[in-house]
Amino acid sequence: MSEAPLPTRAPVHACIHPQTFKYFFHRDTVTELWRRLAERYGTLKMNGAFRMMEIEGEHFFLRSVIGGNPITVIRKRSCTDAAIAELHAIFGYEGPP
Amino acid sequence: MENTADLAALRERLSLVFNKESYRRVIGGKDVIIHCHHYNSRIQRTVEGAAEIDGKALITAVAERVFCEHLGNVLREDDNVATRRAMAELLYAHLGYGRIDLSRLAEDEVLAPSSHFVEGWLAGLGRRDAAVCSFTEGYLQGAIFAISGELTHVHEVECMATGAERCRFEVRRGRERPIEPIERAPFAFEPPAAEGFLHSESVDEQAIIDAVVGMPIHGNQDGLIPAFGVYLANTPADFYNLLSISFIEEMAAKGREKTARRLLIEDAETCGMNTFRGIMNSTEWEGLIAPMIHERPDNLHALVAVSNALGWGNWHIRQHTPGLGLVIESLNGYEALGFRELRGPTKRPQCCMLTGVAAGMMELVYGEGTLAERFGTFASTESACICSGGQSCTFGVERVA
Repeated sequence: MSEAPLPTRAPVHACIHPQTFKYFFHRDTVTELWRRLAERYGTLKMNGAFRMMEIEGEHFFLRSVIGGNPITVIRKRSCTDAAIAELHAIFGYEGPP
Repeated sequence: MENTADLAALRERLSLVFNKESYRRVIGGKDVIIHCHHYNSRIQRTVEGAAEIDGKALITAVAERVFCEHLGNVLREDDNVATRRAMAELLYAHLGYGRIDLSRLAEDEVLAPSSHFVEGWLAGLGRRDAAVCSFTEGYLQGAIFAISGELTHVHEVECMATGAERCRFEVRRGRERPIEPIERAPFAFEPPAAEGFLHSESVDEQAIIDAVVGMPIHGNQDGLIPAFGVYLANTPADFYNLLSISFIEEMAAKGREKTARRLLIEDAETCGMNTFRGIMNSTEWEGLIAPMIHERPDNLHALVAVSNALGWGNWHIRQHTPGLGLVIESLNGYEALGFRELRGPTKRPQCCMLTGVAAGMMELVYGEGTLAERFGTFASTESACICSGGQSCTFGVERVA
């Protein structure tokens, strides 16, 4: 079995932070990924009306439609390079911060 | 030290009431309109940037009038001072403006560790040298009066927008000028039935409205409302109306009325594009609304439904030529009804916000290129307005470029 390809990302014109990106993952990895994100950043909240799931961390919001992929990362003003580096490590994303 | 009433009991006083017929959102006895940081920061920049008038003083004065009254609505005669302070902090956070800490009020100091206005300014307009929390100064002046009956001047001496760790306000006592009450003449208005409007077969407008109304659009632990990819805030219609009217009147006194109206419309046009672009790129849109979009005009119908749920004015599409034109009617827009109550009947239309947003929506849905390139490619005119005798407010939008 071949390994899942590395995630990719695309910019999102969300207005809260100019460096907002949507990260795309291999579908086989997202369930485990969200479990790890919840373990690290806090409770996973579901919004049934909008079919949306979200974790609010200290430095960013992690949002996705139910199913978990792609994940939009909306940075807060307090977000640091170190916080993004840690998130990217969890994502397995090797691109720029 | 006095005990504070239970926080949950105080929150109950701020429960949202949504009127399904009028699309009005009411919190603490006041109609509130949901706008995002784009609109709020741009309106502030426009008013404060007008060299002919003291725009900062205008924003502060309007905020103190509105929130003195708003807090008066939610305070009770038997609330002690501790409860009144807690209510003032809670209302500010609940509406989405951030957090204020009134615990050092006796030392003439208020701290604010989070701010809608700072976030909005930095996200939309970038860092600047001057403090940005004029609105909060006015809120605090109104709140202190509602809490204790004392007239004050509140001045922001440190602001996160300029790099401070938190915003800090000084309270200066001994003010004599009273807070001007808001005078209204009741205006009995029965909106026409919402008949004959265009709808999309694939866009379930009611599902969108129900979902948005069901969202907990109130401040989080930071007193902020990060939703739809933007920072939202619930602001009393009175604030927007008094600010727009006062701005136009003060500019008119300097021979700049036309400029004032144009600036307010342009702010709304920009907001229409930015806010709705944020909404259309949001996870909320992707989850609920995107599956309803089959053709380009569906976006317009969905955006109108979202804006109705935000309390903007119960507006609906009367005519639509995709890519070219739009006629949209507002049955009870807050600008028209507000003007009518605050200033009485008038000869000219008054709905700058809806005029600009109507153009902005068309530019977003049908335009090409960057938002800057789309700006001005559609022109919007309010041809009839409730406050000048119309049965509704009607906006015609046409492609001009």
